[in-house]
Amino acid sequence: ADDMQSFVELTNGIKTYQATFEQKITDQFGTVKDSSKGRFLIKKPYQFTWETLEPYQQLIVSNGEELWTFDRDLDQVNIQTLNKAVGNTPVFLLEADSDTLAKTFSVKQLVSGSEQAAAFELLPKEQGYSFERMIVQFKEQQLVELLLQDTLGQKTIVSFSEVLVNQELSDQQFNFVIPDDVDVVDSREQ
Amino acid sequence: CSLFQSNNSVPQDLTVEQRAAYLKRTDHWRMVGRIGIITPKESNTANIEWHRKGSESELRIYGFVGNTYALLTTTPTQSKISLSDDEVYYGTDPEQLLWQTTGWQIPVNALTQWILGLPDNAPSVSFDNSGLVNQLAFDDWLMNFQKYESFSGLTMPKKIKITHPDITLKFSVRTWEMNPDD
Repeated sequence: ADDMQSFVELTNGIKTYQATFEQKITDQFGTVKDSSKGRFLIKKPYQFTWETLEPYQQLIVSNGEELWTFDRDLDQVNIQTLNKAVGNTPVFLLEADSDTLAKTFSVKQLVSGSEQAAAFELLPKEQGYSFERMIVQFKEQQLVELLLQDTLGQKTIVSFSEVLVNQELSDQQFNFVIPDDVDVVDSREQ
Repeated sequence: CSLFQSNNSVPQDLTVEQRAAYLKRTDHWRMVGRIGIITPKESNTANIEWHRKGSESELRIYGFVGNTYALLTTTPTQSKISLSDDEVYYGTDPEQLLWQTTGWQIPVNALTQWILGLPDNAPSVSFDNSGLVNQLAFDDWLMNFQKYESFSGLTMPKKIKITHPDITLKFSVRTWEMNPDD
């Protein structure tokens, strides 16, 4: 469908992306249950960092193959093999080509108020996702918001600000160096 | 002492003895923070909210998107645990109930006493030079109080590492509320 094409055109246009994120989780009554803030960087293919700064300190780094999760408060580092199929993340949405996307979601472009904005509704095609509906919003070709709604009406809203697209990013930023005196748990598939 | 009295009126600048006496009198408290669970099979981090109300307590372990993994409610006569799949189980010993239903071996009974950094009747204890407990051992568990911090004027444990042959638990505390008015 052409909605899929226009979505993929927008995501394909993004080679690198940097932004400050704010994540809010509200229950079905709209009360905020949880909120966090941090930085998100991505350099395709699949190199990214998701650093939560508040209320806790957690740095997630992927070099495209492996995923490090460094929990600063708990002095704990977990290494995993990167799972590229996790559908409800900004990384998946920015990376997925139209075939992968079409297998996972049905994509519909929503009518949006201004010329510069584009909003898409993504509905998971299979069961087993923790959400039933996702709204992805772009403004001037930049990803600005992700909203996930689950069957109980709980919403997870991730809004991006101070967005920089297609700036030069060095690979160095995506190679995590394990600090000393932390517990390291290596759960990579052998 | 501090210019304003925080709402839960925590006493300020206590000596170690005064602090111990104050904590002994406090059986209403709430701790919110992060928990790390490392076993040979898996390593998890999650949020934890532990609310003690006298002889009752509620221990909630929940994920980053607010999804509750386990809510363990304990009263003198019964323990109840509700899990993320809305299953509910009952038992008499909270520790065993938590272990049987989640596989997490957390010494809930012992911790309820000692998590405040109050080593009363612990089998073996050692203190740092300021008189605060820095290590405490019971059964096969070793509890290290790695860091203390002032929480609105009251010195409380900030980082605790608990080791056991089969599991390592780590707590990083974000807030302590003492005698919250519930």
